[in-house]
Amino acid sequence: MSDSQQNPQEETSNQKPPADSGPELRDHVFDGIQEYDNKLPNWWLWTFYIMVVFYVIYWMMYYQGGGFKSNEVKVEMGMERIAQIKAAAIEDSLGVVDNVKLWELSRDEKFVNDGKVQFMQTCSACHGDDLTAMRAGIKLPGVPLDDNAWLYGGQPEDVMKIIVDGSPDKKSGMQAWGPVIGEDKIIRVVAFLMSHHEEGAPVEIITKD
Amino acid sequence: MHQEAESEGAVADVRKTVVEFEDKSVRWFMWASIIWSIVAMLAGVMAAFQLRWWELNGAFLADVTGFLHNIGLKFIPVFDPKGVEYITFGRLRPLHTNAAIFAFVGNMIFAGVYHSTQRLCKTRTASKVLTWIHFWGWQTIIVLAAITLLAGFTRGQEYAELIWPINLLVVVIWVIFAWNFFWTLKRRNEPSLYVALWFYIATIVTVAMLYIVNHLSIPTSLIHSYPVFGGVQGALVQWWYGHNAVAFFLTTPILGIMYYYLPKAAQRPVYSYRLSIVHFWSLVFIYIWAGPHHLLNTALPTWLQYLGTFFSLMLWAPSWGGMLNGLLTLRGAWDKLRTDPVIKFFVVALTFYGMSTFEGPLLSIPAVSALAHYTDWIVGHVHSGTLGWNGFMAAGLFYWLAPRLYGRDLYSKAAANAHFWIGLIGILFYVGSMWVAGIMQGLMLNGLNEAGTMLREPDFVKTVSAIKHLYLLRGIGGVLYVAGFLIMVWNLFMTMKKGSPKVETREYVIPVKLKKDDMGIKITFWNDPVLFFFIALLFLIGWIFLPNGLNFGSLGCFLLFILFTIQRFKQYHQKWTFWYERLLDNYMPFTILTFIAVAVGGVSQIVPLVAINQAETMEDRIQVPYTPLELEGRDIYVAEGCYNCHSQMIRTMMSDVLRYGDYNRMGESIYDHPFQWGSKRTGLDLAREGGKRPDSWHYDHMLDPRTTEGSIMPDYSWLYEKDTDYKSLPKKIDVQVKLGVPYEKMTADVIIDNARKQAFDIAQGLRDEGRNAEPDKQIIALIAYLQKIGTYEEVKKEKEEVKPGERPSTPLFDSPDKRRERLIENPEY
Repeated sequence: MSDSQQNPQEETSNQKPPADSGPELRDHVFDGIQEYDNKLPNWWLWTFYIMVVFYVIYWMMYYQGGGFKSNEVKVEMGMERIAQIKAAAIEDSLGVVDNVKLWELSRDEKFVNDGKVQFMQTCSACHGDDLTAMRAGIKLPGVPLDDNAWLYGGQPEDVMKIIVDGSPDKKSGMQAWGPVIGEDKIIRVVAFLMSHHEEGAPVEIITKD
Repeated sequence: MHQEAESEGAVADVRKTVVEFEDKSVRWFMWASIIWSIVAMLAGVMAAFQLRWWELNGAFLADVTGFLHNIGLKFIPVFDPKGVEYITFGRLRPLHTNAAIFAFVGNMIFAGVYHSTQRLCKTRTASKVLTWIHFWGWQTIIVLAAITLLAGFTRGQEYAELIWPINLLVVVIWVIFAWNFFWTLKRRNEPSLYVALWFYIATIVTVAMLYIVNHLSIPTSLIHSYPVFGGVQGALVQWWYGHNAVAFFLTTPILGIMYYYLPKAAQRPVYSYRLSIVHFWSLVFIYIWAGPHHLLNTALPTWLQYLGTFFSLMLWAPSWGGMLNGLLTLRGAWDKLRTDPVIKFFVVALTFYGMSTFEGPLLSIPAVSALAHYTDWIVGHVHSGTLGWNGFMAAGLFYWLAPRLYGRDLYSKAAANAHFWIGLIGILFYVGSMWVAGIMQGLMLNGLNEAGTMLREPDFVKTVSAIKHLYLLRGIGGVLYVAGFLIMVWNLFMTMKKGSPKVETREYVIPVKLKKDDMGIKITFWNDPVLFFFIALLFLIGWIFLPNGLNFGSLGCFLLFILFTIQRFKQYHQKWTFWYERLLDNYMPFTILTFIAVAVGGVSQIVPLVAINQAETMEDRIQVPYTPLELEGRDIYVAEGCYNCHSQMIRTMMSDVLRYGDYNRMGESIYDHPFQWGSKRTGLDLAREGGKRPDSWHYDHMLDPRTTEGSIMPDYSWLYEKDTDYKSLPKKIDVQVKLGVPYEKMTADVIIDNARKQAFDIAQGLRDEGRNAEPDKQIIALIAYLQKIGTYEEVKKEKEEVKPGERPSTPLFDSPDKRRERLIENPEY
């Protein structure tokens, strides 16, 4: 900034020494401390200038040019995209997993074991390690899954739907797990659950209260 | 004014004066800083290990006391294994941060300021009485802070937790400090203000401004109040304060100290006077604007976020100006680095200053913030500032001061060197582990599957378990750092013991008539540098706020004006220099101009947002106010310091939205006094917690968070024993109404009945599910609050119809976001 050495006005007698005589040591001493008056390093100045120019240009492009997408728009477009992909996927998978297929998987050792691992991670906190929804004699928030009493249907497809979409009872029922762990894993959890049940066993539909 | 400057030599009469410096208070401030530093760091180490072993939140006391009891120490009471409320992370962390900032660094600043100001002004500190009121007042504040924070009395905003009576005391003591300092300046026998004093002045006026504005609150009782600013407004003001507490409490005073003690220790002239000028003014002006970078990708209006980002980037060079002036001062004295521990500490401190002021702008880039915000990267960043810059500057200062205050050499140079290396390794452990932890957790949390449709790691707890071992390394780093400080305590104690308090007197020859403090208002303001600054600023603000067309004009004027300024400066730079040197002879005009420079940023950001943050202006969603019981539950949430680990702000990012739900809008926290957006996610975000899980889940979880495998949250058993404070509710609702929360008119009885009834219903529901819940316990109020978070109403607003081809009506001053919206909707316009 102050790198002008030409002093065109010559309006003062207090001339600076020429630039090549080394840094100027100011004559004032503060409690023994002296100060040079070195020029500002150019790279330092340029760091500053570039940041200022970057600010002005970006602001212009965003606010005066209407350029770039705002964060809100980006997220909304992203969610829209996911919704489309999901809709397509559901269409593709319709009929792939049905009651017959799920009962079959519930007798498949690998699927059941994978399902058990997932169950212990995400489900056992509320439904209990042994599906009884009890731990050390205390009732957990979930419903028991080892009996024939069901709230929303006892066929594998019914169970799957509740896990994917969550309980219709939004106030105190289970959350939707589809968005959290995905249908792939949920199929395995259903296999694990149904491994505790028999195909064709009587299903008793109960209400919560 | 040019002529006056030349006639300076005419004063011939001189007098001799002997000054006996008042250094006793310096010694006391130094020792206060040292003692509190140990307290603050031990609290920090404890908090660090609590994140590794949750049992340290209180449960361990049962084991320890049980063991002591069993080996025969029968008089020791055995603690309840369910934990103790006073030392959970949520209460200990505020104690750690407040103690580190205000107790450790605060007292260090006062020691440095009182010591160097006397020498730079060639006069004794103006008032011994004020000095000692300042000393004891400040220590009283610290003790009160420690007690109240652990007791759970808090305002619920970071580094602004202290309750309102202590706030008042802080303001009074700060004013006494300011009074004493400026009185000393007024009595100075050295007309010109040295650069260290510029930084002290900036510190004193700015901290006063920040502290007062961010602590405005309305009391509901002696120990409780609600902040005046709420929601997004509260967030902006809080981080304007929070960020500038770093700037004007942890940076500018330390730079001032650096400018005095570094050249003293190195015995070399300061590198560049003009760099001092440029970096001082650019630093104090730009710093204030950067606060919103703590709120990137949140519901804060975008234009404020961008101001935060870009002013942070522009701040990079001014910050480095300080580092450069420090490090380059050592040219020709680098050999001292081998022999003098003081120089060692200063050099590493400046290096860390440079590193963290580079890291700061980097973290202010929205994309980087998206990864780093809410993670331990930020914790590491802050500690490279506090441990590296503040801590090592403090150590260097004390090693320099002690021998001079006690009239003998430092007791052990070897011990000082040992401190240096142990401390440095400690910092590297700390910062390194936090970088890795922060980036790792950030990547785990933000990672999506290849199709971009699902989170790669949906289970939050796993991302915490993944960094637990790094929390251990961080704790070890902390222990090493404290160990270094303990060596210093011993070393300085021995120096004190072997020496004796030294009374330093000096004889000065000074002119009888000092030419100082004679500048009027007119010369202060009516001169090129100040006028040009104001004109440029007006154009700049016009560019930001004026409608399209006019703003281009404003920017054009700004650029032309800058060119004109450069031309003018080339022509008249001598005149500018003389004016500035004259300003340095006038402490009051200097202080006023500094205050204006720091006030501009805050005013430009906060005032427009006051107008925006009203219920009427909210566009899509508006928060549903809390019922009395929920409000009480919220106060419990705040008192337990839940915000230290849980945020309530879902950012405009895919990973946040997929994990927690729809991103938060401005109106959704509009009635939150204090706002609880948080700054760190050691646990999940809670912005949409309401209704996600059954009451019984919360009931079980607070009693034993280990129902979620891997959780490191403390138990909160006392919430099941302590009664809900219904009686304070009428007063609290009354204050909420004053703050603009739309409650219906309710009598005290109605309020209390309402709360009791809601509590009874919740408890009944829990009983039905087999929980032995009592309605009047705090846990019920807390559950009521947790189930309410994120409840909003849709706002239906009729959009102004704009006929095609017609211009929509636009206000003259408008938020840039609104203007952009109109621009995109109506490109022709």
